[in-house]
Amino acid sequence: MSASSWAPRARWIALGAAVVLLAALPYLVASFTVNLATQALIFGLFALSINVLAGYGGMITLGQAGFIGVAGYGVAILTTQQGWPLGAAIVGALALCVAAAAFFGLLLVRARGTYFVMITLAEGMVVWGIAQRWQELTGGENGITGVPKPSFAQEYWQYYYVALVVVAVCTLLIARLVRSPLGLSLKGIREAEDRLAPLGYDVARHKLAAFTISGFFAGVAGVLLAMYNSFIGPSDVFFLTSAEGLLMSILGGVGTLTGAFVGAGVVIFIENDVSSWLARWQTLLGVVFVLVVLFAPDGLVGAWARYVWAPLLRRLGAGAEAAAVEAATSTASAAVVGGDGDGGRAAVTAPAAPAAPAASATASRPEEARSS
Amino acid sequence: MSSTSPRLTRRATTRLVLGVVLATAAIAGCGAPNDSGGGDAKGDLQVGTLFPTSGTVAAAGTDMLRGWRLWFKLNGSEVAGRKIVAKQEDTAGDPTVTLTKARKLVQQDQSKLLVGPLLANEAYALAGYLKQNKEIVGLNPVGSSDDLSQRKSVTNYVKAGGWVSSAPTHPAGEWAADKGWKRVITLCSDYAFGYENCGGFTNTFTDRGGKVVKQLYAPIGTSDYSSYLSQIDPDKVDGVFVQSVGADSPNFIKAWSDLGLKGKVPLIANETTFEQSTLRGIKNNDPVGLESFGHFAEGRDSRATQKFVSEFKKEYGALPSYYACATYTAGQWLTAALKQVKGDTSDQQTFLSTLRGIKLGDSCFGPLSLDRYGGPVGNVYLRKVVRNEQGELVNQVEREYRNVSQFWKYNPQQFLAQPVYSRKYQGVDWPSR
Repeated sequence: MSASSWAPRARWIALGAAVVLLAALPYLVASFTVNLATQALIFGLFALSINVLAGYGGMITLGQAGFIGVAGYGVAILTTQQGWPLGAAIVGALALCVAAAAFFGLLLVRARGTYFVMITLAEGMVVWGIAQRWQELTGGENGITGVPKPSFAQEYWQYYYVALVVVAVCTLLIARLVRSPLGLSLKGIREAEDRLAPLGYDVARHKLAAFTISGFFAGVAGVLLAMYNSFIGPSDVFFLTSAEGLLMSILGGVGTLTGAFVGAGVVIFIENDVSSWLARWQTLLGVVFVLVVLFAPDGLVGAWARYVWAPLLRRLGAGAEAAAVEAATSTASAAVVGGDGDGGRAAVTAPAAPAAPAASATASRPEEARSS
Repeated sequence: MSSTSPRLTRRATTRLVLGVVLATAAIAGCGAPNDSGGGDAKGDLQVGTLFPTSGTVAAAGTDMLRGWRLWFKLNGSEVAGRKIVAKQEDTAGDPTVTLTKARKLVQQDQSKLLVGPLLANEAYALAGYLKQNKEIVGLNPVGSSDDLSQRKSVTNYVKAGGWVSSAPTHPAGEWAADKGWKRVITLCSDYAFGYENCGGFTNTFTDRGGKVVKQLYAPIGTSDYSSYLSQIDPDKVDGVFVQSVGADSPNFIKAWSDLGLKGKVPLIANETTFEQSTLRGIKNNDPVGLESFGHFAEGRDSRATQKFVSEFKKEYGALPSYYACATYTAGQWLTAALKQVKGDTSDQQTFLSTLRGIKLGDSCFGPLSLDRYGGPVGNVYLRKVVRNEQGELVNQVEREYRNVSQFWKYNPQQFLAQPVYSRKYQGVDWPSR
């Protein structure tokens, strides 16, 4: 079947090209673009952590920036105030973040739908409140300056590589997580939570594990952000940052891995590049978001899969895979359009099939059909 | 159903990790990428302005932009053979955005100088950036945080045309004591700028034996001051010191009249409470007759001030606020410095020490220079709000205090040994008698 062997090869070629491009970026573009790429990587990881919960687990969170706060301020306080070496401070900050995520998660395990969202919002704002008001610890609205970068990553391009490697490793870990039994049970929670418990699944424990893991990765993003800016302030922890992360993951494609980065890239680009020649850039961002929600409910990655990748596969003669990709995306939009049975769920749903990249469905589906 | 294609995933993982590691190793062997530096020392002088033209302080930020542009419109952007090219980026009143825009101005637009921003937290963030990027020069005409020219000063961040929050309120405390006030209530915004304003007043007032019976703090965004003003009993105080900022000021002014305290309780305010950007929008006479201490008075009878005020009015149709005078003076400051170095900014040390050594004989503020800590030394005015013949509300000068530094009459070392004014420290028991 030489036609279907094209599909996975094409995917690997594309992935390989992407890796080379990312690795060579500082040599191809200006320093400012590299800085934007660093930010897109950091916020992409942040959006991905939200994706794990929202896309794969169906649990919308509006308080994820709280973990940026715990980890980011953790690193800042431990280095600038307590004099810890950077490595130890990062470990300490992430440990603190995991503890906070577990604690917040405990408050959430029995919550569903809208209540879940509201509690996450409150939790995120509690962290913001501490950041804003506990002046002796956090510097209040002045934030904390002087957060160090690793000694081997003082230049902007060196830090870009640090961010690239860290984010790549985290993404791979999340990719493994999503395919693991825990990841599958997350999808089960998203699709039919009520049916899992009678099957013997400890739904509460799975939710707690998912929330803690997602909070950990948001904390990694927070550490990267604090070091990148050499600064952390309350606005980094505010609700708007959480909302922006959710927006990025929806824009890119909830329930995908690459979607988080695509969404982050688009938002960062509009915020930073477009804003200098378009005063109404926020309007543009809003219009883009509305258009995506209306015409590409699977996000930009989903739209790419449906309108570019599938026809391309068809051209290459891999008709079966193309159909599979289209089926995956149409199931996704059916889920969005048709809504879901549980009235208490939040309005945004995710594509039914995982797609990371979207074309992985093409390779895995034939195997799935064969093995199950 | 098996977990989807584990073999493919493991192979995928290995390939990806290998790919990233190999690529990174290959890159590491190449050395640093080609990066365009901060412009050359002879061509155009690129200046990046960081004024918040959106968000809660947009009105003030817009005034900053107008004041800056007005100087160069009236005096030309060619100085000592260099053409000053300015690019404005909006900081939206947020420190993280300030950092992003600062990086953009330096890396993409090759800025050698950064001017701004407005808020204290933005200024501290920029100070952190400048500390790490010594080849860039920062001018700070508005960010008044005490510590930026005291305990946390950064050598390449110069308060050119700038000021210090507590500097105008130090004389206010003495003035209140001279008037015979013994018991005072202070009302300030619940953040650093508020603490520094109240601190300056409280410090000097208590030195003279005055007693601050209560210190009230209202959060930024207070629309209803009645809950604070109702705590003021006219029989139990001799006067009130108030500081408010931005959109809170008109709310305070209205409440002060509406609750009948105007005329019943003597009031002395800080600069931003009766700032032109607030007065412009008030149609009634609530602010008329009220006094404040500030480093700018649009009614000041001096050629430099009146020229600035009339040109600003001609260009923009409104009276200028101190924000506009600040950036206008920053333009004046930069021009003077460039002339002194004859346009040669290649030696950072020389350029910086020139900037720090500038002495303006007069400006829209008055005479202005810097002390050795980088804190501005200039005039402070006791001002009164009046309605002029054109029907505009202006601050007229009642009394002029000259050569006021950030340390007032205190010994700088002893002053700096104390913490910066905060909610906890207001200088009540310092200096000990």
